[in-house]
Amino acid sequence: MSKAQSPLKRLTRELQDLQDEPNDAVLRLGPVDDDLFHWHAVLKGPAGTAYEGGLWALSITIPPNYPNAPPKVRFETPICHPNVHFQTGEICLDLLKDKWAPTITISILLTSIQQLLTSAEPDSPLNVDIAQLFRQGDWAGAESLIRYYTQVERWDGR
Amino acid sequence: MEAFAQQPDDELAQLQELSNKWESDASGPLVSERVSSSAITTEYANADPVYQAKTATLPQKYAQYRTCRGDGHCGWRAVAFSYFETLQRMGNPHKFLEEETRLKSLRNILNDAGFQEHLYEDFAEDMFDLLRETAAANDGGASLLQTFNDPHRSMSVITYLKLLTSAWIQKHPDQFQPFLHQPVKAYCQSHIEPAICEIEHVGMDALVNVLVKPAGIAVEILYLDRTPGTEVNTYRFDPVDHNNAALPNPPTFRLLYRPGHYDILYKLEDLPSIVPPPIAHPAEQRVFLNHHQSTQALPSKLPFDTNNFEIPGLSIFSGPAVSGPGVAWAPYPTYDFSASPISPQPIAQPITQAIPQPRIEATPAYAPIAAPPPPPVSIPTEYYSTTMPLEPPVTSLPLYQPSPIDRGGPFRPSIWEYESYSMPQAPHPPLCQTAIFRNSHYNTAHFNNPDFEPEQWQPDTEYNPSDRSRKKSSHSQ
Repeated sequence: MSKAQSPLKRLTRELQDLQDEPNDAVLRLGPVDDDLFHWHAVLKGPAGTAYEGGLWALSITIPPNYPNAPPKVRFETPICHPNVHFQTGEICLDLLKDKWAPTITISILLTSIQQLLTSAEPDSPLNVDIAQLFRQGDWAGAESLIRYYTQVERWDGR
Repeated sequence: MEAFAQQPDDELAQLQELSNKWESDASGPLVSERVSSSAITTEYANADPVYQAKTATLPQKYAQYRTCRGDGHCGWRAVAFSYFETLQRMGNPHKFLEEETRLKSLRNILNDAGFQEHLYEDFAEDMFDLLRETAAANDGGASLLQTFNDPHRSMSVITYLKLLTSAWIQKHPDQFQPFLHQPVKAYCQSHIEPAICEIEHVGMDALVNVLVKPAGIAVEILYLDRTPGTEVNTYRFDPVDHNNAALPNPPTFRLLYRPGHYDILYKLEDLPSIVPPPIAHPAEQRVFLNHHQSTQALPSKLPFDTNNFEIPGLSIFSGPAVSGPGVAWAPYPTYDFSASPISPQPIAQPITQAIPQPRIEATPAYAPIAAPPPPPVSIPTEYYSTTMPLEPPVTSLPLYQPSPIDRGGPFRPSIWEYESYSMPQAPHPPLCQTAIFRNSHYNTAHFNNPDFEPEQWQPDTEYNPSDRSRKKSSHSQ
């Protein structure tokens, strides 16, 4: 009677789709140790931006009521971005909170996170230092700081 | 504002933190059992006078209500639950199949809106599963309520409806764009599709248009707000047919809207029949029994007592039969009473068919005499003409009742049951025994009685509450 559908079916399908259509925004994306509820991603910095050439590891935790609730996504590699906490890696993105919709996939989510890199919202910052540079219009300062961290904190394949 | 400005910073920060952590107190079942709507009146007893006045009049019209948990889905959930419940109330298993087919055909607009089929098909499948389960369920809605209180399954259905609503809005931008401050696509992504987002008026309009109206169901939304007046403002969505004409007497469900929250309201007529359908079962057998008896007995046993004969026709005036609750919403549009003339044999069929609708009575014959509340359905007249010749030549009985068997309570049987009354084990009391009929002015025996005084109509004793409200509501509509 009650057939509480586990998110496994959906996650399996997402994984399958990912193999058919790889996401350009990530270097790799998939479950950790065959645990479909815990994914690992390596995000690529978009070309032509201060983040170009960067690689960041992210951990993705899928809640049991996925896709009715969003996955928890966190930067494991430190990134210099107004909307990402430098120490904890917490991301301030509406899609991960109140704008989450069950039609969004993990792949779409990572594309959105890559887009966030180039469309920062310095007015609701998690990283006050870089946000302050943005708000003061110090683009040169912001860019050099980002380039510095993008190189120093690059994911090294471990 | 000034008060805030004077507060120390840390206190403000503390308040801000409290505010950030605040979550609405969403508890209770996702969809509750039906409770008396006087609870709403009590809830607003200390509220401002407008609310007091409006909620005071509410329980008179809307006897019961269900609460939906205010967790951000209540509007979606209220519509979804009511949709299923109303389909179930319509009592037509084919309707569920029809709806499933119709909703499946809406896949096109989902795809056009850019939803990937493999992402929504799980939700759609849950929706169709529930349609099938509800069609098969015969438990008065218990399993439906249970399903809607299963967070996963109810969310699945709600998600499907959200996607459908979003697709519908995107399919009809000219209809909805004027009400939006942003492009339809952006609106849908931010106000319809997100997992947690309460339904807004635009969404409600679209949802009703894509889901409820095409199913032939009407929706009334009662707005309980602070606008002047003593009654809640009602907005009604009516289903239309292909020619854009409103359908007559559509089944209706009602939502109570308080800013930011929806609950489900019920008129008594919306409630499941007080006489549960299974009762018809033994009665059905009895019908056949009586039929056999009567077909054999009638030709020879015609010399009935005149009074006895006359009484059966009166049954149409006894409340429950005329306006039984739970039947009013059922359109039962096709009653094929094409009984072939003269032969008593085919009559068995009308009798059994009429069981679920005991209210189809000989109203036309009595209409000139009195004005009982008109039943919504009346039998085609040829039914009477074909059966008329069967009647015994007793002039004081213009008609007999074809379907009087399963009524219980104060109902009179028909002549077809005459035999059974002469039998000692007859379940019904003998005719002319109850005060109603003894004192009725339709009983010609009273013409000989100088002290005859027609019984006064006592709503509280003679009619059960559901019938009263039925009448009232039929006037108010």
